[in-house]
Amino acid sequence: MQSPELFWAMRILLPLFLGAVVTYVIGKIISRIKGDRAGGVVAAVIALVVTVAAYILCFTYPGAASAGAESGIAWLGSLKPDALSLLMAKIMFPLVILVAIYSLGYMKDDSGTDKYYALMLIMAGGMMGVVGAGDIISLYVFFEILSISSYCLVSFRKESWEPIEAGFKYVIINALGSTVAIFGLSLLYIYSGSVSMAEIAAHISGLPDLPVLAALALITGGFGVKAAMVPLHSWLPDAHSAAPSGISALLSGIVIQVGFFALLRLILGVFPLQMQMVGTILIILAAVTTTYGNFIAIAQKDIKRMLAYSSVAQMGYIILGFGVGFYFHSADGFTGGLFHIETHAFMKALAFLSVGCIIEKTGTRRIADLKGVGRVMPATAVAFTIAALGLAGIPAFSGFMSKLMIYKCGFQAGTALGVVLSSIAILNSIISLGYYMPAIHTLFSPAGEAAAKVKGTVSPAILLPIVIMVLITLVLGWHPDLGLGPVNAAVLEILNIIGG
Amino acid sequence: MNLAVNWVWMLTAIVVIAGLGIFCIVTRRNMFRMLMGFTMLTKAVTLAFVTGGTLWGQPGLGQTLAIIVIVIEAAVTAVGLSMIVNIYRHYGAVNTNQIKRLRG
Repeated sequence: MQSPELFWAMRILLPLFLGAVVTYVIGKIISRIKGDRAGGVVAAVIALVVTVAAYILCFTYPGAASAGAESGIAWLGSLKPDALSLLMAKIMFPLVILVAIYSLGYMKDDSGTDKYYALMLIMAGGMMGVVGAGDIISLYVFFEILSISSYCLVSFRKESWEPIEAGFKYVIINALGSTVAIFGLSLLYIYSGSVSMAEIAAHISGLPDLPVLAALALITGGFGVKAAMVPLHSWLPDAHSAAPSGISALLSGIVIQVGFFALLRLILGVFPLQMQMVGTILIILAAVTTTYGNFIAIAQKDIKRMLAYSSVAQMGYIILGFGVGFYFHSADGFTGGLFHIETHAFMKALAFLSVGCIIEKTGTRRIADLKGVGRVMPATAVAFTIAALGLAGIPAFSGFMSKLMIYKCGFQAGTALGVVLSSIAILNSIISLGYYMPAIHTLFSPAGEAAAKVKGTVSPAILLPIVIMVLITLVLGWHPDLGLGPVNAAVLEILNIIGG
Repeated sequence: MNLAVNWVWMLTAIVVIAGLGIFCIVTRRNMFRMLMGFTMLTKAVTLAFVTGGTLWGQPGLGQTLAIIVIVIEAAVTAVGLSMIVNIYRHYGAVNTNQIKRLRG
């Protein structure tokens, strides 16, 4: 019987990193022989095969089997996958697969797409490493693999100025963030003399000392940059709007959530006794993040920047779920937070992919210029409408179900604070309609000049992922229990750790 | 040699170097200096790992961790430098106040 650690290393990480090398080498050879476009297609096909294979292997995860079955292998201690990691894998793989199919149509005119798919696989491998990490060093190393590949992907279209400028901002702010985080982790190492999370936790079982509090502050700040908590979010709107749309979908859908997940993993692994304090910090950050993100999004004129600020706001909802869960020790908060990660990943990716398709056809990103585009490309515009309504939390879409769980756990806590928090969340949901509705209205208003420029049909490679994501958003809105299975397993895991 | 005195000095040095690095990133407008500030910050982390290793009698582990941090820092710096090259091609400048077209 295989142990979860060996499973994670051999069945998830190895295919992704090895696949990245194979994708790049074969893609390069084909593009030398047959030209750039053929190389890109071959690279995409290999990347798709690898991700689909790893995704299918996910379902053979052995669970908490045979402890120490392969204890002879020393490096296995650096991985410690559990139900939480499996949940993130089950969200990430479909997203990467759909984005790879989308990029096949969307990136067909770019050069060097063999590198694009290889970087995407490295990014996926980095994410899976972060969620399966068992000690602070492997967490940091995989996080940097994820970050470096996403820096390159954001500034992939280096011929124009915007991706490069946004990319540099992204590099500096995120490098600062992750270095501050590793600085906090190094303080933990000085304090405890070990890099394994369990051993560090054993050292700080009593009341926290000054070094531990300093480390917690540095780690929260460092990963807060990655998770785009206000006031550390300033890189996000630039990077997410300058990136190619497929990459924006991945960044908004899963990468910032993995940033928060790294913080969550450290909180659960290292600071499990400071729940009340951590909960308070998270609740304050979440309330500020949601409100700020929504208000700034209203002022945006660029549709991708608007969606990027809406990611900041949605990140606030996810953090709010966890903050309430930690503070009131309620399982519903964790369920809401994790389920919102799941639904938001597909809704936000759907929004970015459909907007990317609209931008490609019309050549403009200004909302005011998009008048009447919905009348000439109805399928894409309807997909965007479904994503926007889901993100706003309108009933019948998946976003409503996950937001409902977050509202519910605040009211169930019964205290004034819980009611106030739920009210803030509901008010924010209404505010967010203030920027989704005008965008939808513009898309379907009488035709303008941008609509006249649209010609030709959308390629099936672009349309297929959009249709699948629309289906996921609608199905989870009517039958949330279909997506709740892995979420509930992950919540049980959290409750095991914090003892509830 | 008194180890207790030693590590207080080491911690002071770590905090000072980290502070200098963050100060450099925040206040400088030249992109190369911003990257240098980032490099200085990672040097503080490296020193912290070596100090921790010495304190707990595992110098080998401390140095290994330091080398891991150095490798990652080199990779990030390389990506940053390549972006500076591209920015110079587009703008002919390496100062952030001359290239600000994106708003906050």
